[in-house]
Amino acid sequence: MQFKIFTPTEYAVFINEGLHDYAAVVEGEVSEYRINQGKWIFFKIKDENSVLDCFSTTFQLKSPLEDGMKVRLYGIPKIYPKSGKFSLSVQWAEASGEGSLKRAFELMKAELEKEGIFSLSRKREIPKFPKRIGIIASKESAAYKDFLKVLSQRFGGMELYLYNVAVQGENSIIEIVEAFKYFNDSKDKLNLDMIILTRGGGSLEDLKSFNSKEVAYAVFSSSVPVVCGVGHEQDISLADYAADIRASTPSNAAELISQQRSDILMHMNNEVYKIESNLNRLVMSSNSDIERFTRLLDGFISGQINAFANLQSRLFNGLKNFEEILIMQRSRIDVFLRLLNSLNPREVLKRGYSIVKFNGRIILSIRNIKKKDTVNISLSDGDINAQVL
Amino acid sequence: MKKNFNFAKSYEELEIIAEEFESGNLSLEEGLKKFEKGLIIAKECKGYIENIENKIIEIKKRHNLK
Repeated sequence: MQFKIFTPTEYAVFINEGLHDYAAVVEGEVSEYRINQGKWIFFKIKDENSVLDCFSTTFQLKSPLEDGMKVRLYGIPKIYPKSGKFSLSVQWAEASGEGSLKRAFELMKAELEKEGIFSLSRKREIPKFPKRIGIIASKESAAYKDFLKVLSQRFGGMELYLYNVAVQGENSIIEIVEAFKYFNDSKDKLNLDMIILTRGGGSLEDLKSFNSKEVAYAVFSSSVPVVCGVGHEQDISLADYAADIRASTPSNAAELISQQRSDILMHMNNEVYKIESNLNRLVMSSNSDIERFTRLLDGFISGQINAFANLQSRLFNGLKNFEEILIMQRSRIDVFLRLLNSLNPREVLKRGYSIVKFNGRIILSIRNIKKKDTVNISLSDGDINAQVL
Repeated sequence: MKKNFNFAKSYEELEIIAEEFESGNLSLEEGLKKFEKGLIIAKECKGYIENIENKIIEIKKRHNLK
């Protein structure tokens, strides 16, 4: 029989090719867990009788492990050519059993906390009246149905985009991460106000994907604010911690993101009442303003009327005085006239006197006249010419 | 109901009008105009929340998972 001759290197390669078929899930307890240079992970997995060396990288193993933790891991057996050492190249590992799951949860929580994934300072607010909401949930789950029921009881007019995912099981993490990617990619098209991630309650095993680093990262990195509502009051997943708003249950998520119709109606009635009563007050104060103006105007007008009446009576009195003065003046004129009349030379002529003029001049002395002169004699009722004898 | 009725915006507008009335800085003329507008908005908002239901759109998955 002819054997194929290998070099050690060739044989290691040959063996490793064959070992590929023996890749398996192994469950056991972790021991001597250590990380080198922040990249390379070495540990052993053991039971009462056997120990296997394990090797992995921080890139592959997302969930932190520690000694004494019970884990399930998927490993490809391999012989390292340089040392000839046999070990399992671990592709993924997860805690198994409630105690280990709890421990894994705490470890992951501490790690993410340190990374700032849960930082309160980056929590965003959601609008009071959201219009478009992305929902990541299992279409058939009670959680989704509860959420929808409570939401539609409270408020309407929203567009709800459901991305149906498996919330537990093998594909759950990939589907949830994919859903976040879809909603973030279609952010501008869908114009989402927020994303709701919800599922019912369950054991740590059931909530595994909600406690995974991948989902926590997806929630954390979402550019659309995320509201997370998981299960019962006491169930808090890492996705909850990473979300902008943490609801205690799916129904609570619906309550936190929406307003109650009746509250809004009441508030609106109140606003309308406020507007009405203020308008009434405005009308009333305008009325009293008008009354005040009317009173003022009234006062002004009657003042004017009084002033006019006053002026009129002053004028009247003035006229009366003037008239009296006029009458008085007139009677004085009459007296003068009478006096003047009595002094009129013609009146004297009536009493028998006459005026003698020579050449138009009154003769006051006989020395101013001689015989034969023709004189003019004025009597009261006419003139005569006569000659001096 | 208007097709693209923006509830949030209308609701905010109503609140602003109420605030303006409360501030007491409105003239009667402005007040009457705003009053009328407020009543119209309130009616629209009420009609909206009493009658409108939520619409559900299911996203078709793009990927094929194993």
